[in-house]
Amino acid sequence: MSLALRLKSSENLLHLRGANLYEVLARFEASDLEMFRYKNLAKDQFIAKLGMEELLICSEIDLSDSLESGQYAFQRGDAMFELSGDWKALMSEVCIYDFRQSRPGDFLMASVAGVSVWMLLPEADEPLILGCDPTYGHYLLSTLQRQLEESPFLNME
Amino acid sequence: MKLRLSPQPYEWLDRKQIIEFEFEGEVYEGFKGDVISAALWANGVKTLGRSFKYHRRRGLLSLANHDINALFQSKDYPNIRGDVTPIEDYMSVRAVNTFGSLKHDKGTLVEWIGKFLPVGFYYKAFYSPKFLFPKWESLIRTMAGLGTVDTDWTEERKPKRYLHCDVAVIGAGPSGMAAALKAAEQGVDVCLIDENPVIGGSLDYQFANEPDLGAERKRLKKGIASHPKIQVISSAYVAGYYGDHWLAVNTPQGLIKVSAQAVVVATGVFEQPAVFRNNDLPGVMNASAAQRLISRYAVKPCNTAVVLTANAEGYRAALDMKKAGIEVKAILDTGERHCRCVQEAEKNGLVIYHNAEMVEATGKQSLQGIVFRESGHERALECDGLLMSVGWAPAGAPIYQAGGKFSYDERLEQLLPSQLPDGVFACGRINGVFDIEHRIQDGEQAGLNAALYASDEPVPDSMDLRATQAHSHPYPIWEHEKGKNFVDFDEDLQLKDLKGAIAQGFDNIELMKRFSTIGMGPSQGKHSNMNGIRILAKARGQSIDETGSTTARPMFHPTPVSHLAGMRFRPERLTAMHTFHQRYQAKFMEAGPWLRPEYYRTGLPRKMCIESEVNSVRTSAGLIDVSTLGKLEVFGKDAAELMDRLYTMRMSNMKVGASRYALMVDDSGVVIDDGVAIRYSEEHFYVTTTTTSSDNAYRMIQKKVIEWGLSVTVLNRTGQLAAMNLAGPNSRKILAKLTDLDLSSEAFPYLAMRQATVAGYPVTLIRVGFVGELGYEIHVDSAYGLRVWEAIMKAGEAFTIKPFGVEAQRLLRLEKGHIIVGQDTDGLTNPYEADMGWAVHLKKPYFIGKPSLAKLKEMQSRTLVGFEFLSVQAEDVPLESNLVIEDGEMAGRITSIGYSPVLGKHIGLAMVDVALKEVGTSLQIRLSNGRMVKAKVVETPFYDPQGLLQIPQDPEELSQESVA
Repeated sequence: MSLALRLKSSENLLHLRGANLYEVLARFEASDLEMFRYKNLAKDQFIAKLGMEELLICSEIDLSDSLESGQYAFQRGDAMFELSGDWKALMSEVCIYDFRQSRPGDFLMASVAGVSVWMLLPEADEPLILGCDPTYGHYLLSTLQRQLEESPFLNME
Repeated sequence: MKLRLSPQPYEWLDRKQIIEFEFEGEVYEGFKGDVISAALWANGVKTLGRSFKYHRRRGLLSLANHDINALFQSKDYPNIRGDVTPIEDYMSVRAVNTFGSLKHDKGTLVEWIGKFLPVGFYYKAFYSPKFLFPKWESLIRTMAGLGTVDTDWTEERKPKRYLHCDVAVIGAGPSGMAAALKAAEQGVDVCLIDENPVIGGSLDYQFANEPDLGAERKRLKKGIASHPKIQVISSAYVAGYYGDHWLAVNTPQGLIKVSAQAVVVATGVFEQPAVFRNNDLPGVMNASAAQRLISRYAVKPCNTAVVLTANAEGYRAALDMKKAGIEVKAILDTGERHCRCVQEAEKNGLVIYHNAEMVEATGKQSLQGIVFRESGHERALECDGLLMSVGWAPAGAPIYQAGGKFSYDERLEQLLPSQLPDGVFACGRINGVFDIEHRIQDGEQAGLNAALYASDEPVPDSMDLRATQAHSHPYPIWEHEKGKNFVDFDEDLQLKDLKGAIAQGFDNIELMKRFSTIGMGPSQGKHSNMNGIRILAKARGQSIDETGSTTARPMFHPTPVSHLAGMRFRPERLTAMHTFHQRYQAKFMEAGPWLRPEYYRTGLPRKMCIESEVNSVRTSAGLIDVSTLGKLEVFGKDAAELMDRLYTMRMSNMKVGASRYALMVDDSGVVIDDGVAIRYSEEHFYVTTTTTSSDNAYRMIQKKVIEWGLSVTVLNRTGQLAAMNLAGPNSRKILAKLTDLDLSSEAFPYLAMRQATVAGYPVTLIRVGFVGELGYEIHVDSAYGLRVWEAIMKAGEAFTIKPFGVEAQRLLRLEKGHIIVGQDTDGLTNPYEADMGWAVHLKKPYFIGKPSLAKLKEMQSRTLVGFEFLSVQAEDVPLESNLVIEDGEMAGRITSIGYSPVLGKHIGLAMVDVALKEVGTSLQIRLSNGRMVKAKVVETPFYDPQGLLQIPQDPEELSQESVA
């Protein structure tokens, strides 16, 4: 399967900070979610646990009414991409991370082409989802596209 | 193709594809898979290049990526290595380093005057007369060097990539292949790196005619090809070995940075030439080169061969030659050997001369015969090929670079690894193992041990499989009274040159190298260092270990700069409003990683565009994108405490819904950042930083939160939020069209913050006035930034609103005397010097820098002042950083300067000695051209000193004239 990159919508991306987020996890049937793991919800929706007091949620469910005191929700406008095919081959040219260390379902934060990026590591044959600060979105998209088009390593494989 | 053989079992050729290429203007044919040198040799071309200094004819020597006398030049690339570069259709190459042509090289004249050009002559000559030195320099530069770089080259950057594995194996010869397979069988990821396009190494050229090895070859190659845990990187070499087992692997596609837990070095050995008279004649080559030529390229090295040998490998080479249909005139054994190969040679009727010495090659343009001594008799033989098999030197660069050590083994007459760093394993011939079965066994145990090491399991001791008899001659050097016995083929160094260097006192291995340049040519001593060490050791009466060796540093082979450079990753940030700026003809400038509109082009000159933007803000309204400001959310139980500790002003007493200037200093009291803080709730603040400090400020604050053990969370929202500043007397009217919020001064006073909707989107509004007008800073989720911006521009059309850029903002704030941290302050400026003592609340119990500022308050030696000129011509306007001079001494510098269209004059800020701070003081400013102009200190702000425009009760009652 050849490598392909496409932009995804980051609507409904929410960053939750604060104590006692168990109820939010429970609401998404993700109480047993481990740290730095994510769970797919409906299509293009997920919940990721980034810390004891930190969640990243991409969901159409409105949480604004269910937040307790001391819990803060910030809307995120991350640039999000879907990379299908042998995404590890492309990543090996822009990211030093050893993907052998991770497994499907991991939520990974790494530097890609000099930009901080988060990734949802997929099951085999599924596309990789990655996101970054929206202000770097244009740069990351053009950099990955250029690499896809010009890299002799990728075009050799 | 005169010397082409019938197909060989392991040849690399695709005989169906005939390739035509051009060499020195003549067209030749070869097969796909041929390298340049082999294809030329097949066509009977034996002079492949000219030597570096004397321009002597040179042919093949190693055919192993260090044939430095067979370097070629194409239109685009210099110094193409003929022994490893495949021919291509339409390829056109010439020999490097010739004056005229390869056949008729005028550079050969140098050989005639060679006796006047001993080693190091250029260190001692040309000093006088001094005026002639530039001419000598020019001549030497013309004569020296190899290929020519085309200065019209096109920039080329090759990508780099990372590869992670558990075990990296360098070298895919028999030992390396066995190591890789064994390691992979333990379940670890293996990366097998080899410089050739086909794995197999010496198994395929030194043992090509060993039928017993067929099954083993098949097992290894098939096993590697089919093993999912093995990744083969062929046509690649390890250019450098760095800490934590990082390998820089150069490939034709670019550099691969390989990270391994353990490394097996199976790089083998370099065959070393013998040193004797005319050992550089085309036709004299290493025996392994001849075997490679036959096995890989199916080319006869010669028609009639003599083999000079000091080991069993020479006998095997002689048998290979015979098998290839070459007449083997004799084997000249430098001693007396007893092994299976000798018996086989005898059985095949080959003539063997034992204890041969004093070899001399003869011939004019190429080898025609040899003369040698045997048992006191001088003998001569006619031949066109002399194959040298007198010894080996370890290809030890990876081990040396990893921090390993070698010591000389007198039994093997070879340097062997004596100390290996943790995680590094050596096997095969580099480890002194020569028997082919032992080499495979040695590889297997190295592969197993590397896999165990990588898996954090105990590593057992290895079996010693090293050879028990020498495979190298202890001194394969025969001096001849007429000289021309070359030690270094790169640099044209003869035995007499090294002896001369030693005699002059350069008798340390490092000194000898630098004086004589041995090992400093493109092959980096791969076939000269060992003989150089032997010569020095003998001259000084030392052992090889006492003599030592030079340092092997990266790069192992010359590595293209385009590979080292890699692709350029230069992150660039665009704000949410970037597309508007593009549409509106913004001229962009870089601000850290950001692209910001410097000004918007209208077809007028830059200065007029900026002045027009300034006028728009002063007379009606302007809108600037300030999304690049750092934006931090600070929330939690200790949020107020943190804010108090971070900033010089008290923040804990700020009311909810208020904003406050936020000045940050470091421990020494130096201004490092500023911004605006607002309070959303008792436990929730939001603070901005300067454009370029957001990441640094965020990191520092995070560190402090941990150090101080505060219960607070800090979130860097810089990229998630867009921000814009709507400023000008009409800004309130414009904003009123888009929001239901009561914007009256009573309901929304100066320095207040409100959360509201603008154009239907939730925003935070802050009434601040960096540019000195009624203004609103609007912060909004980046997803809505462009929509809010466009709504404001639309609503402002009736007021001829204009977007303004960084340059207009700089001028507007200068008129107000507001500083820019980093421009009006430097790495030593404290708030008192910046005339911002008002922003320091020393009564607070603690904040970063407080102890320093408490002392600095009374120690002020310089201060920021405003100035204007008494009279100044357009061409005499100083620049930022021009110096203020007092009594001939430096007394300050200009930090900001600009022409104020509103005030109709140049104004500026300068950091000056306190003695010059009084209003009315005359300043002497030195221009960049050295001329002086006069200015005087004036009060700041220059514009609207009472700040009436920022807090108008009714903005319509105030006019420009009343405040300017």
